Amino acid sequence: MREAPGGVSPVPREARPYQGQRAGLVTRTLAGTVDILVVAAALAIGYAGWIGLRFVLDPRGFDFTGLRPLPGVTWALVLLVVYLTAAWSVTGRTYGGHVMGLRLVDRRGRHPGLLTSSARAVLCALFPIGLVWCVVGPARRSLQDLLLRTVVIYDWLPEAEDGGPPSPQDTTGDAGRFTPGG
Amino acid sequence: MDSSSWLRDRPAADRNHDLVVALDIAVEAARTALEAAALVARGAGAVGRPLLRVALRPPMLAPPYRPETWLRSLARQGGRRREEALRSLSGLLDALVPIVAQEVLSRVDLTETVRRYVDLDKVVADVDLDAAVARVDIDAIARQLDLNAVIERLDLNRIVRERVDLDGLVATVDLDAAAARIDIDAVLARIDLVGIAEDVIDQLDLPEIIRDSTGSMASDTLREVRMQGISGDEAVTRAIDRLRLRRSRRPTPSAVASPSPDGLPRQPDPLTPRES
Repeated sequence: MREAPGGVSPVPREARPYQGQRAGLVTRTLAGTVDILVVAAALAIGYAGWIGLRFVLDPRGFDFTGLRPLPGVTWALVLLVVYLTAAWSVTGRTYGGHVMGLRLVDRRGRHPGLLTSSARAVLCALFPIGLVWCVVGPARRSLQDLLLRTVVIYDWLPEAEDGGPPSPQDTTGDAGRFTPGG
Repeated sequence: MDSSSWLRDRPAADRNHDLVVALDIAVEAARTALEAAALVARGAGAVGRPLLRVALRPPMLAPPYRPETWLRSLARQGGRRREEALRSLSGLLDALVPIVAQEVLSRVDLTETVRRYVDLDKVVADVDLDAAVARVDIDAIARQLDLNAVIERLDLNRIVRERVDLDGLVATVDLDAAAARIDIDAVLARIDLVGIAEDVIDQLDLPEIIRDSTGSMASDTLREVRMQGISGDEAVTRAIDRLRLRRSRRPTPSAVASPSPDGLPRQPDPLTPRES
């Protein structure tokens, strides 16, 4: 388990055994839900801002029209991909991952690069059901993880100094701990 | 009965007493005779001394023929004989005395005799022990001592505890000066302060204390949500594992259809717990 720079882990004692282990379906689903809510909120705020801007610029010609489904879904998917890519490539975790104490790492145990993050974001946005494979498949890896060789782990610490994950430990069984490259 | 047998038959004490009486009589008789002889000699000397002088040195004779000369020669010869006799006696004593002394001392308990008849305290009191000790080379004696063995036999802790005024001794020590000479940095360098601090913090569960003192309801809720999520993951994993285990142990159709020895199909035992 990774510890704070002073050698004392701020992680609660009951959660320490799980640090560095691969996260399961429930936690990741909750984190994804939070991320969707974040994107939805951002989309709503953005749409409200767009409406307000149109009203300010042309009050007489302002015509309130509801968000049409296809552009709305498209914008939502685009926003989701951008959000996931930025979050994973910069910190390794989205806001949902932060809430649930999850972090995405690549096979070397570091933050995934921009390309990997963007590819994973697209896959997650277009095929979210691939997350279920972390229950069916081995080692709690979704289809996106299998394709891009990434892993989602429990990591309650705010941020690793070196951008890396918790210290690697042995992997045994489907719910085993994360090991770089494994 | 003759005199000798009579003497033998008498008790020894009586015989000794008689001998002492006879000895006393002889001594007294001899003393009286000597006094009488001395008295006669003094009287005769006063009368006969001039006559003796003339007799020894007659004027008509030459000195070599005088009786005095002859007597002096005779005295010299007697003196030589006496000296020879003394030398012979001395040699004889040199040979006999050691033998006699050895025989005597071998028959005498000299230690007991000295202890009984000699006042050793008085003898020692007359000895100048200071002068005797001053002549002793104490350094040479000390060099031959095994002081380590002596010290090992001593209970130094008890001696110091009972005989040394430690409080008074410590009161004379300038502890501040001693402490000022201590290299505290070197002492601290030998101590794993970080390890000790980590152990203490781990025992105290400092993160828990910090969370309790500064944490908000949101952090507690967040921790609860995360733990619930982990529990959910574990529950799902266990459920999937049980499902896999059940499927892997599901009996084959041939086994289910195989008849029992009595020819009837097998039924599950209700008392046997199902695999879960």
